[in-house]
Amino acid sequence: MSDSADLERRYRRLLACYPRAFRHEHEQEMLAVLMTGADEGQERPGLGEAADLFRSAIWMRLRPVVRRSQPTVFWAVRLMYFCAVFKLLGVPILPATRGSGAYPLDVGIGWGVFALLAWTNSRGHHWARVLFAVWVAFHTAALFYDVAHVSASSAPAWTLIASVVFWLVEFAAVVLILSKQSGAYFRHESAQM
Amino acid sequence: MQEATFLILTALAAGSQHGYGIIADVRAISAGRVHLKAGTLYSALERLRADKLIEVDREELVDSRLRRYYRLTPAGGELLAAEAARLQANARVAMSRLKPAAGIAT
Repeated sequence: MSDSADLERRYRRLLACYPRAFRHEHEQEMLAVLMTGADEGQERPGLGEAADLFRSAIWMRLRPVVRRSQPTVFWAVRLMYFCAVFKLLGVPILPATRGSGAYPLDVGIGWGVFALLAWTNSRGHHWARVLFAVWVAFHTAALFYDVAHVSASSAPAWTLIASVVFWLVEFAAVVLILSKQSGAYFRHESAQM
Repeated sequence: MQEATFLILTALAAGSQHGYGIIADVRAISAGRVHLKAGTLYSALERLRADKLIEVDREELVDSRLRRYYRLTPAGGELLAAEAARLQANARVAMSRLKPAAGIAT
């Protein structure tokens, strides 16, 4: 096998670290750039170049993919992350609103669910959008139940305020994620998968 | 704006260029100081495309390899002009403040 073919094979192996959609779009032109920039007789990618490709591939996998140019999804995802932080901080909210499980368990699972939904929505997974809407519908029903029973319960009134604030943030996120502009983003991302 | 982003937009200001052309032009613009690597370049191009600051101009096959040309969008041109004006204003202030100090030193 020639030096050039060896080098190309090694570059392809490094480029395999990138997400599939990115590879589909850019692999051929990146390969062209890498091969054009290679020295005569070079057999292996340089250490700096390999590190740069690896670092860039990791970043492409972990980066926040929603840009400000898609404002509805951009802000919906940030509101979901806000909900995750709200849960993680363990702000006490009304019993039914926080779910039926034990409180520490609810905090542990709750923030993880919001973080996961935020991450999957940002990557354009349609199922995540539906799941988030169902999740908020459940919380809405729970909040109405709490409001109807709060006077009879021993919960302090400020937990009702915290619950309403939390619900308003969730509701704003669901309105944004179900908007027509967000729909276009999800259709575009689904087509790329 | 990061320097690499500024230099990539500057490289595209004179007309569309392909990936390797941008790398070579950035090196020339920065007098050899900035050498973009492919991974860094394509991360930046992807981000600039998502922000609609650049777009694909055309594609060619050269020696059976894909060559994709990128160009500035009007929004990209406006952003580059604003950033260049900001840097120029800062540089002017810096130079004007250095002149009296240089005068004292000599």
